[in-house]
Amino acid sequence: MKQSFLKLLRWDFLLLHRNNLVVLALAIATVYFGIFKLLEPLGDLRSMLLILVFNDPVVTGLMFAGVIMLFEKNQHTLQAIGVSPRPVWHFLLSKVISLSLLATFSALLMNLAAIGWRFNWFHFVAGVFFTSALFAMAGIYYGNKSRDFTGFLVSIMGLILISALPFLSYFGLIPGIYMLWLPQYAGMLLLKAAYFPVSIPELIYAYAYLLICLLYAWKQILKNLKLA
Amino acid sequence: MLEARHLRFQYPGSEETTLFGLNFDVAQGEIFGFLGPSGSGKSTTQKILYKLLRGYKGEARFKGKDLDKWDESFYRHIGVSFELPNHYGKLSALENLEFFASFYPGKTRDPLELLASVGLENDAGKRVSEYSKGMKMRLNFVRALLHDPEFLFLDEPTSGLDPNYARMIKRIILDLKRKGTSIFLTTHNMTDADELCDRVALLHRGNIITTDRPASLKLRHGKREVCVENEEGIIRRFPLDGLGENTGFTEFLNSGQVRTIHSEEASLEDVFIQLTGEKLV
Repeated sequence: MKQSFLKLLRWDFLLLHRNNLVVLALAIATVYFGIFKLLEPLGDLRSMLLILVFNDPVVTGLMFAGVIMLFEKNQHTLQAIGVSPRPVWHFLLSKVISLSLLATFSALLMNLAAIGWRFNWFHFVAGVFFTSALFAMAGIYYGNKSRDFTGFLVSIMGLILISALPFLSYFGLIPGIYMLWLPQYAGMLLLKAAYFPVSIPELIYAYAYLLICLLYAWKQILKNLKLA
Repeated sequence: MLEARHLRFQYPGSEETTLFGLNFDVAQGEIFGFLGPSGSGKSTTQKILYKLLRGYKGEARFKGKDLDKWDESFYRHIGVSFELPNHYGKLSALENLEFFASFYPGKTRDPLELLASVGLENDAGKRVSEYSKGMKMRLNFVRALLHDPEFLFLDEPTSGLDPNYARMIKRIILDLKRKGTSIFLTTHNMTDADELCDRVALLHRGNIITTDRPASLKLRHGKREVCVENEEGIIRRFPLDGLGENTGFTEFLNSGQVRTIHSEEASLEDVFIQLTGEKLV
């Protein structure tokens, strides 16, 4: 079981690579890497880094997952997977994990360029990985529902706008308490905890709420996935 | 192997019923043709039978067990070749087969051998996006055979193929039947149905209007006549019954060179038109 899931994950990475998505993710990370290296003399880059790093899993998760689902739909491969003995959730989980690993790797690359090794690894990896997984699930959900890329972009507009709301709290414009319902806020809190002190109750909230949202999103995509 | 009893289906949100209580069964080693025009319910029936559509009424059983009670292991027993190609364009044909083979526990057939069986051995390493429609259809077909299933669903297996490859695929289908594989063949190609199927069901607006052997249907709905045309282009028809003693027939044969002579049984297309008043395609 574990072996065959690892095989599936390997196939997903090959598909990401053949669709040029690995190159694209690494290219974006490299551009940021260069920018941070240039900005290094300006001093503490952590505040700016948090915003950019938070956006990366959003893009990698949401956009890449959506594009992949559209590819799958256009090539009618979902039907073929649906009539194989491999449970469909394996296939979905492999997509979510491969994209989240890619997002985590590119976010780490940016982070190392900007501030080196001075951050909390655990919160950082958890923040990026969980946020990316959540947005990958959203990408799968909307990609599966959309007819084409334009339709997909229209359907995720609202989600992208909502994802920017936690920044209002981050810049002190709105108290954080109003953002607690947003899983994006929980993800941002984990990233914040990678660089700055965050209270224990906030951390407990962030981990618990992200996990609850991940479970909810997972159930939704399993329930609503259309194979045919 | 496969039975459907009073199979009914209505798409969620639709007011129209798509299938109105279908009854049929497919025996082991049988090729069962499911014929009907677009919109008759062929695809819906197939999707129910390979469990991509839920919410049907009536009974559908595979190997005596309700479809609802089968888990993913059901798919180890069946193979599906869809009407439209479904492959990853960025992977080669060989990689596609290896990818899908990885879904099955245990040993699967050699992908290269399968590709060779449909004339794709020299294009095994080529990306599927560079394949023609015919090549994709052949790849579709062999993918369904990867795990050596005992039951095959084939949807228009010769669609988009040139006559040589269509013949190749039909030969493989008949070989599989000889080995005991049961086949549910959906097509609107009457020649394929006639050549391949042991029995056919004619589907019209969600109802099966008749099920029988193609030969029986053609005989039952054809004219018991023979049609003779001579070199002068004169055509005469004679009843098949008592043809040997029919002096008009023997005189016509002796009156000049015979150009053609045919018995007048119906084609499956004719049968469908007679029974429904509509064309198949």
